Amino acid sequence: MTSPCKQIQEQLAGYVDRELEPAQTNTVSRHLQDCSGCAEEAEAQQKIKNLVRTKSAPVAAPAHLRAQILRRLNQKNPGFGFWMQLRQLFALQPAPTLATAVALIFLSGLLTYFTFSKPDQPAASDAPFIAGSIEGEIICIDCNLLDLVKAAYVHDAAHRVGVRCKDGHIWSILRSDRGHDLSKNFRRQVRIVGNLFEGMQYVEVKEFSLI
Amino acid sequence: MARQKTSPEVRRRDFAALAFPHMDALYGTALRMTRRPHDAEDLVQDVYLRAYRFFDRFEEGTNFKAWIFKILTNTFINRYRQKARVPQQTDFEKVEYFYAEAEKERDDKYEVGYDEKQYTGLFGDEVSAALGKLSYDFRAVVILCDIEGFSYKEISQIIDTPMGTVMSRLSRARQQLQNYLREYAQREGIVKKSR
Repeated sequence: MTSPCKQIQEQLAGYVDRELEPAQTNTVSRHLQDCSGCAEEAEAQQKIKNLVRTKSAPVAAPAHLRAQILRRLNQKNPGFGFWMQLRQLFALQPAPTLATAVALIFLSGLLTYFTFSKPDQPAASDAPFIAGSIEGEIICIDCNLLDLVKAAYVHDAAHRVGVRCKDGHIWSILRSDRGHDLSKNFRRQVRIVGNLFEGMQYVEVKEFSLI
Repeated sequence: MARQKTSPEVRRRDFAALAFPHMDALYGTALRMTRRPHDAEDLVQDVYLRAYRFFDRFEEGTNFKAWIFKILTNTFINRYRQKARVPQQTDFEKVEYFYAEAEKERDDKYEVGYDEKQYTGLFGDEVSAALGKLSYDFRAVVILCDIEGFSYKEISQIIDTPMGTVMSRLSRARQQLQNYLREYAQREGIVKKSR
């Protein structure tokens, strides 16, 4: 292989991916007309690219993964964000942070005292969702949004199915077998019983009925 | 400009709206990189928690998909390749061919027990096997470019590598794939038999 060929071959991916500057593209094109070896190589690059693309079936994330991630995001302190922030704060302003911490410990002691003196107080739920029911119409979320913004086309828009309630809230449906069954009832009015992830507007369908 | 501080509910909703549509793509890429469904799930969960934690640093109006894929590749490297990483040097690309072989052995040791049963069906069997033989650096650019359809500029941001290097890696990765797939390619008429 001669030296110009070596240089050209480094750029062949850019050539088939149409990522080269016009001047570079011209240089490569001219070379490919004269050099059958490189021309063949360019063709092979294109064909390998097509092969990888066509033989790679799209993969769907498992249904439970979405629910797991939602649960963890909806927990009060996903990951260790709170502790990281506290640590950063302590590094920046150690004295006030320490003073606040001492005050908090004192206050929490007081709070514990009062809490235990009123044993009937219900404990706040830690669950990241609430069990409940909603009623609404099965719609296409993306088409609905396109209507709202009066756009004819938005890059990246799909046709995801969701539920529009009378109060205007739109809920996305968590992927599951039951959710899949539900989504087949396009334009129908439905009542859904399940878990509502309020921060995210996702509903995990347990049961539903047409109304 | 970084995002404004908002209430946790709004923050979560904004995040879900931006991040959840990419879950299939992230999972697919994670699966192609780890080659085990269980590891891919762990990885994607980690990516979402990290992305949410750093969501304030995402600049509104910029490319969210590239941003979250950058978190994916960084998380993957931290998890699976920390021990195996070597400092990148300017002449790194020149020795990459030789390095790739050594790396492949190391990848096998640290990263994957090639789980054929679960991995096949992802690609055409032979294509998947060939892609699995590539070193991580090569495999990543092929997945990002040919499967996920990122531009070179995006890939260079995602893997923190100059665009020229992205291009030469892709050229070489496809050449290697072609070698691995020679027999298959001849059968399918992709390369001429004389070569």
